[in-house]
Amino acid sequence: MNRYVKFTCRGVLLGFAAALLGALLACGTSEPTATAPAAKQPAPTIAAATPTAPATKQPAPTIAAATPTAVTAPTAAATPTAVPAAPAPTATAAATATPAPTKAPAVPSKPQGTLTVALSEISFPAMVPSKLPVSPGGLIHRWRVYETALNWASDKPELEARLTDEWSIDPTGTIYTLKIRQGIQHHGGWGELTAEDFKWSFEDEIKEGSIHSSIGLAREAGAKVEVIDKYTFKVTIKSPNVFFFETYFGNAGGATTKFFSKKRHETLGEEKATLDLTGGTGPFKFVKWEQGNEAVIEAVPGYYGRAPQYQTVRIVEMKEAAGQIAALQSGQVDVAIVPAPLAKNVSNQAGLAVRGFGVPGSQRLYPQGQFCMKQTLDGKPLTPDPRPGYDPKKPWVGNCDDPASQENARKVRNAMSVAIDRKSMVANILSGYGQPSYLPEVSPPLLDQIFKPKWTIPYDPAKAKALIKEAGYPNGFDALLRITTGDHPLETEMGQAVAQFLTGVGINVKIEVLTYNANRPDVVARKLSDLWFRSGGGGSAEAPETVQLRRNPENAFNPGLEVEKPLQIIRKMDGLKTAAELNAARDELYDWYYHTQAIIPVVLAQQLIGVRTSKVSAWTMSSGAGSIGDFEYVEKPK
Amino acid sequence: MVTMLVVTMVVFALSRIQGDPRGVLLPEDATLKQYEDFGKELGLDRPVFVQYVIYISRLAKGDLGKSILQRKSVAEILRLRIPNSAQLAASAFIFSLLVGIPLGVMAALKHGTGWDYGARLFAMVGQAMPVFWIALMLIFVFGVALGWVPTSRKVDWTSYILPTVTLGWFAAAGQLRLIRSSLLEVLQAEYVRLARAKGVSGVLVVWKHALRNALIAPLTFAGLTLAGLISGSIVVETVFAWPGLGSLAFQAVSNSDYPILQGVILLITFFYVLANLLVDILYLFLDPRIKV
Amino acid sequence: MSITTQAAIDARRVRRGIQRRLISMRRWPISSFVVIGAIILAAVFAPWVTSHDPIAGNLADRQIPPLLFGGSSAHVLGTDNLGRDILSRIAYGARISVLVATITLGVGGALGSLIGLISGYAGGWVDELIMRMVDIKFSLPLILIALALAVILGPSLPLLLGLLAFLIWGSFARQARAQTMLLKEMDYVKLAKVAGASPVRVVGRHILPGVMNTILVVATMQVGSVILAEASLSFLGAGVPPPTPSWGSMVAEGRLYINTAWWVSLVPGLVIGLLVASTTLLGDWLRDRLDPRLRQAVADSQR
Repeated sequence: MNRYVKFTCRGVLLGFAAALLGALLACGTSEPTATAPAAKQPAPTIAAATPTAPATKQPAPTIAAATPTAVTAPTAAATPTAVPAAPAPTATAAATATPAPTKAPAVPSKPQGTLTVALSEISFPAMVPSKLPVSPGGLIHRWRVYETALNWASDKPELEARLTDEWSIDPTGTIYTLKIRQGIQHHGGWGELTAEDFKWSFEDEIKEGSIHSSIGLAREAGAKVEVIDKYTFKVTIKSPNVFFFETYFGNAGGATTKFFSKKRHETLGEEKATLDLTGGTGPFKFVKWEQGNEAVIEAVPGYYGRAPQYQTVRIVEMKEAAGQIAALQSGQVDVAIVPAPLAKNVSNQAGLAVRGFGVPGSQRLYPQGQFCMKQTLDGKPLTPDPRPGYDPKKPWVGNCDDPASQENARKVRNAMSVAIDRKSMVANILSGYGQPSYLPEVSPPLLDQIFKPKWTIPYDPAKAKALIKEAGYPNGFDALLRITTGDHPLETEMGQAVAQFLTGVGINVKIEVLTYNANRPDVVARKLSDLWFRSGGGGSAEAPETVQLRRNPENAFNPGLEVEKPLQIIRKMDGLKTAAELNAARDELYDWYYHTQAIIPVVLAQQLIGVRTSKVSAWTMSSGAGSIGDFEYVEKPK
Repeated sequence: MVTMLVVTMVVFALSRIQGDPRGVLLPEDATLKQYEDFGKELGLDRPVFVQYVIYISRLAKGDLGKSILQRKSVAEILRLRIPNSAQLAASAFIFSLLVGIPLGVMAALKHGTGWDYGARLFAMVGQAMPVFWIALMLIFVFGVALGWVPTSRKVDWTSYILPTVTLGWFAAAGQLRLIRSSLLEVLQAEYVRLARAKGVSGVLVVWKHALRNALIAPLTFAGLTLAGLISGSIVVETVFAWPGLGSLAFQAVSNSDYPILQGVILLITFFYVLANLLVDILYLFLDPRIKV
Repeated sequence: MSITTQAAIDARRVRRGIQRRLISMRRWPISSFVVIGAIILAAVFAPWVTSHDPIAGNLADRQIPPLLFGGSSAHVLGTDNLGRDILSRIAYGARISVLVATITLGVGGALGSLIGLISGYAGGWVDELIMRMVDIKFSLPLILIALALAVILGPSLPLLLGLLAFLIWGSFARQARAQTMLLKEMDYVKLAKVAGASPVRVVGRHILPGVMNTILVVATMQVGSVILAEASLSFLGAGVPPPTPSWGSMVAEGRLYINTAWWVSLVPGLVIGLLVASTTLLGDWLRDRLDPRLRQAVADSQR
């Protein structure tokens, strides 16, 4: 009997210890429960889209298949307008992907309530210009905590005022003068926003050791900032550059300049400032940021622009796409990204609606290894030379010095391009939310302005096989296709579909799936000479050439194409002033791309979000959107 | 503790054959010179052995390095995540005991009947079906179709339900089978029959003599259970977006963030070794017949 | 009723229960054999299971449900995201699973057993060293390391096989060692030693046969682990590279669509479960058959 007593005592003690341990461990914070789903009333219908009629003369590539009523398709653009007073042309136009709202929606008196948004990644806070990565850390301006000088309008292809309300460019096109609004206060009591803040932010961005993504362009342009008075500053560049303005002063993408408080940085020091959440000028401020978990922002009273209707926005990380949808459907979150094939399923559920946002992102195939440049356009030798990934035996590369070999490589790339049934991909994988892509890395609205039918790529597997035979591969050839992940929920499917098409014309494709980050080191080291299917997330209103220009051989990143011709044309575009000249140069550029298929465009995929109709009745996002944001424009149902 | 040293060597070796982490952090238009400078900052230009010595000495001081992507100290990041993983693991373990043991006992007592088969089916599904499949099916059935429970992240106590069941099912299955078989075995042991012949009531016999011995079984299985919980947690945490060590490890692997990966592997091994030690001690307590 | 009568009745009841169990033990696990046999057959005769190509599909045939759920008889188990026939992919996936299981168990099992044999027979510091290594191996979070390696070096089949073999050799080593140590003390082994037989001969002729049985049991138990591990790695993207079909990656491909095209994930998952369940039952049965006392030994060795 004694032994059992001892045993029981020990067991009890053990239980106690375990409970104590458990209690000690249980120090995680619990979140407030997400707002319960509203009672199932008939959902207020979201205003069906009235897409602005395309003013373009050229036929826009059609968006295949029907879209359900509650979804709005991306609209074609209006004509490009010059943004600065002088005739420096701005390339792009904006598109609204949301229903055109009434011009002045009634703004309620006080922000209230919480909106919960699901994102696939919350990265780390890096609240210092030189440490802000491209994304998702660079999203702080999409989340409307930090801001840029200007903002792409939601309903027209123009840059409109944000932090700066006056701007001009001088006749030579090399001096930009901007004036900040008066009376804007930094959050956290860091004082008023002044031109000094811009100067500091910009210079920190492009300093040595910064990881900001648009250093190359600023350095190449020799940008210098000068403070004129408390609210006015001047940026001077060496020679006119059409892309400079919208790159740094717009709000599209991570390359833009966000205004940080100089005083904050000087007071806290860089280490503390990186993690400090108190800064910003927008309608929201950070309350919490936990990497891998969630970020919480709260409305700030007294914002100079539009006041938010929601007091709090919780942005939660949910990696699993199905998990996001499940959370949306069960009421855990109010907004989530919806992969196209699930759009119908989501919109069929009472209380939910699906809407497009942003412009369709370009999905493309890079035939890597085309390293034909030995020096930059300015004559600087490139090292390492030859590039480790240069392999003339690869069918899509060929020998850079042998024109016949180059012609064969061109045929091979063309073959690969016509082997892809783009329309089928749009219809079957994207469920119609997208369109075939014929110009590499070009999205609407620019696409609709410049597209010409002569650039349409047919679907012709027979021709593909013939071309491959002509190029000297009667039995086809082997290829490795890498699919990088992290940009789009359907990227693996799209990549595999491309592989399937290529296999169908005799190319024996092996697939490797890896994250973008895991692939990047080899890309940077120019080691790769395989095929790379790169999914763009969402497109944006930026001119695509800005993207391409940032890919000159001197830069770390390069998709596997170092060829002089396109870079020469883009450089020529720098000095052009009129829209006509610009478009002529574009013509030349895309003729070249069409002929050589140096980058093979696949499809444009529209991004969709699912929203809870009881919480969101309208939402106008800036056309600079490539990602969810602009929370002050979320309108509650009346 | 030799184990730990070996693990550090393995982990270090692992990180160094990993892809060059510099490419992850620099933006698309950084120049090649910035690339090299950054490499110096990370210490990648010193010989490997020197790097290892530096690494060990820093470990001894408690410095696990800085996450490449987050620029925060690894120790800090881990500290945030440990409670979440621990809570999930603990709840899964408790679930396995609360469900596995009673079912196992019942299966043994009602041997051969429908109850027995039902319990064994439960065990079979838990052990045979892959964890990720169970996770997906549970998400679909209970999270989406029925909408009863949340399916992602750690919000409140209801968030625990699906991940706990998913992770704990395997462990519960193991406990169940072990209890059942050892109980059955014990039931026919000599001294039990002797006790019965002596006239002690049947039920008392079972609960006092048999159960005592049979309870050794979960302990035996604890080591395996823990291993199963750890490896299962990577998948479960990723699928359920649970902010724990498993999902952190998976992210780190995807992002080539080797300091975090090193930290996680070291930490997990440490806990495992610790847990095994505890189990050994417990074993000593509960069954003095066995000499360790 | 008197206490003794009650006790007698109870005793009889328990005895009968055990008898029933003994009888069921003698029954062969037919279902296990059927399932395992079917899968092996499917693996061998994969090209003939259906006329569809497991790798090339037609996008227009995307996500057709299985026959019983509204599909067509052309695709009995439906199609996946790229229009590929699922039944065909399951059959080809079986090839991978069977291949992985065979090679991994063969290599890992053989090596592990050998090491265990040596360890058990030699004793002393060799034994200590080897057992230490085994302990360390069990402490390493192998799935993490496997993931990391797969990301660094790129997923490939040889890598996978090597990793999985490494995963399981430990159990074999422990079991072989335990059994060797047991048999080492047996009279006939001692006799052989006294008679002057070389260690190799002693081990090979006298100990090995005795160890084989237990190894076999461990092997069947480990098949399940290997298959699950491969499936998990493939699910996480670190296993067999696409477009080769593997059950784990098939489940992963369908995870976005569990709401709408649930069969893409459900079917391969079910197959995995069936196979693992069958091998586990087979292992149980083998164990019961060979020696009930083994159960304890096996349980001990798994600590």
